Amino acid sequence: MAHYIFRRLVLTVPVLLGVTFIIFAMVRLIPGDPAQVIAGEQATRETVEAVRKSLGLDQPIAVQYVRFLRDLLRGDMGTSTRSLRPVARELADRFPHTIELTLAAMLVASVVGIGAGIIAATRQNRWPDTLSMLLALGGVSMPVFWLGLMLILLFSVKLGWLPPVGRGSLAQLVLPAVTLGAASAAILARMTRSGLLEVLRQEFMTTARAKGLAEPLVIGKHALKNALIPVVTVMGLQFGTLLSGAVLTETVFAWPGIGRLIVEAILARDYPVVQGAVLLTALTFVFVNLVVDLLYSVLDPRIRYE
Amino acid sequence: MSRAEGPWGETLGRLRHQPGALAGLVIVTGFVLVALLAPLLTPEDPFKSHFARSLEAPSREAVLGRDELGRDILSRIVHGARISLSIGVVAVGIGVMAGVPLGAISGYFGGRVDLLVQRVVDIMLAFPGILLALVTVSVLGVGLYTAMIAIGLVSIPAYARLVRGSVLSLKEREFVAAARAIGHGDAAILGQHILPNCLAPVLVQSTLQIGSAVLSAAALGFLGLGAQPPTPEWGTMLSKGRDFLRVAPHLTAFPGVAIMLVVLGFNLLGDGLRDALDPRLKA
Repeated sequence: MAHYIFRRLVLTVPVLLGVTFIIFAMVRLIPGDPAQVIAGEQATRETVEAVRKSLGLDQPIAVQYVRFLRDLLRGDMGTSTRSLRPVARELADRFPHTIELTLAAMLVASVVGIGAGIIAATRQNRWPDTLSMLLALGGVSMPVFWLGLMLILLFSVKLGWLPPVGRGSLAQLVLPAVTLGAASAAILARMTRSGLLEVLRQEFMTTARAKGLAEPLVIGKHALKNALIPVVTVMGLQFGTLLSGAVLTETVFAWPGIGRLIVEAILARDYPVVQGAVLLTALTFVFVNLVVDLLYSVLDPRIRYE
Repeated sequence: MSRAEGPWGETLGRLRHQPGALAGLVIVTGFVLVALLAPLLTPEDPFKSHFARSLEAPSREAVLGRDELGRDILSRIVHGARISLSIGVVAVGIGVMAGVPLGAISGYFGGRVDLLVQRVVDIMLAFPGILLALVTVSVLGVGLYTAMIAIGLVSIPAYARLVRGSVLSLKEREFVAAARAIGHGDAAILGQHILPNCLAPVLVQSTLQIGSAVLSAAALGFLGLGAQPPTPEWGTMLSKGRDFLRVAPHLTAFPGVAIMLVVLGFNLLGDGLRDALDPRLKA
């Protein structure tokens, strides 16, 4: 176990270096003169040179990367060219909102997805099974932004039950969370169903029934515990899907999170903010995956890194 | 079984017995035909404005209604199929051409090469979903072509992983040992004996990947980072329609239905192909 955890941690190091290097390199890969692009087409030569100097673009690449990492460790990710505020401050303002939305979506996805998966597996090949699997198929095929707009159309425009945009109240969280969680719910439902069906065929299930346990207890205590182990891993991956889906969901619902920030920054060519926001999102994903992998090795002692 | 049928004929035979896969095949075929024949099928020029008739609701004359410039939405969706199909094909092409060799070399030679390729794949996979595509777009600039490249780039790791896995198990098989025994070199073994056996999983992956490429392209278009107006790209159309959601929801609803239908088609076909090509994997 300790060996596995150690290997897993060691493997995270090159990933962290690689991710930071890509983020570092992206500004340097802009076609043409990056300093000119960042300063804007109308910028004077002095401004362009000032940008070049402030970004350290006049230094050798290796020096630039080491500086980038050093600044990063100090929490210095540069200054937004749009708001002129430190990038770290922009991120600190926005990131909690994205986490709030992502966690709410994860809750929706888990409750709806695992619930639908259980219903489908315990009624295999009957209408509740067919219906939930059809819905799940629709869920993975549907564009998340379109679902969001259709929910706004139905629940805000037509019925007037829920507010269409903004953040603050619990009512404003409902539509974005459902929108973002829908695709993950669909995937979790399929996983739970197939995992549960697999377990239900095992002999210890027959034993559990033979010794007279009630069906809900058989499913809840014996089957689910085993079927949900792979679902945990999928939930980790789904966290990434949710973080990336947040970019779209936040755009639809004018949710002031980090996803919206990335899009606004790309459109405004505000590179320090793009770098900081993408880096933070990727690091969050790497961290969650690490936790999930370690959790998985605790839940299922058979798993070992080869 | 006749020799002419072969493994592909057998696969098609199995596919026939799955209603889902068949529905997928019908949708995908329809989509490809619409994309190829678009100019013949459209009732109107998809770029022609009729300002006096902007936002008109669906009617017998414009079945899916008109957009904010009075353009026929059906004609634009039909033309949009061309864009979606090209994005899907180009993106998958990039993914296959870069990912398959990477995975093959990584799995076949192992050792340091494998370690290096797998770390690169790990790093790419550390950017969830369309995030890497967003990074690419922000470097190369906004537009349809950069969107294609960006989405293709994102699909490389999946192919690399998939092919590496297949090669790892195939290279231990007897027919590979036999090929080596009769004096074939690494290139011949990999190219003639191992890779042809990876075709089935790559085909399944590509089918599913086209669907997800269509979805990603629409997402980039919706964010204003993909195809730009007046290109009749589905995500871009949807994004424009958002401003008129209250007064003319048909601007938003129909492009979304088109995206969903096409993605659903590729998902159904991909799942069906997986089951048909490898009955053991059937859940």
